[in-house]
Amino acid sequence: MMNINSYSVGAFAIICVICATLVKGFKSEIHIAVKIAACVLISSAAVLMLSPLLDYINTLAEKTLVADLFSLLLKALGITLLCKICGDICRDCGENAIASGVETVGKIELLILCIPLLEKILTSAYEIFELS
Amino acid sequence: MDIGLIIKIVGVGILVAVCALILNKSGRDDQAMLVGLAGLVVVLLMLVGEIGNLFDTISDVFGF
Repeated sequence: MMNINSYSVGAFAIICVICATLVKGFKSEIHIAVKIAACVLISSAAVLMLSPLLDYINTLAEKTLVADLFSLLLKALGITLLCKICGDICRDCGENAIASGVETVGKIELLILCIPLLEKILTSAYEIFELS
Repeated sequence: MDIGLIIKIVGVGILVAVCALILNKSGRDDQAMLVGLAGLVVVLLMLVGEIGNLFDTISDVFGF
């Protein structure tokens, strides 16, 4: 696996932009594919770069007894990232309505993900009022 | 993150454009349109694997 750093990602992005502009002159449908490929590859690199950091934070969270809450947080971060990437690709292709749809689905999924947390808070509040 | 995929897509794009141009000049507009469509499908087939990889990576890293 090649070493991922800001220099290589920057160079890759500039080459992709040049390629997309080059293809746009010949065939305007296929330059969208170049843009999507570049976006997908760079996002994959970013997520792969993030994984050791997340592993380290995971080990820290396990020591502080909030591992289940942290995994929920991580899941929410993943959903947000996925919807953002897909929405940005759609917006880049000039389809704002599809992008908004994808982002709305992401927001609803986040809300559904938060329901157990809300339930936990309500249960604690109920217990406190019961005791007093 | 390999540049090979981008170069492949650019190559397909240029090839399809040249084919479509030749077919257009020789008066076969419908065939030129079909060649363009075929090129688009080929490029999308190349992309599908990478998009699947991205989704798999995200679901692995963020623990879906």
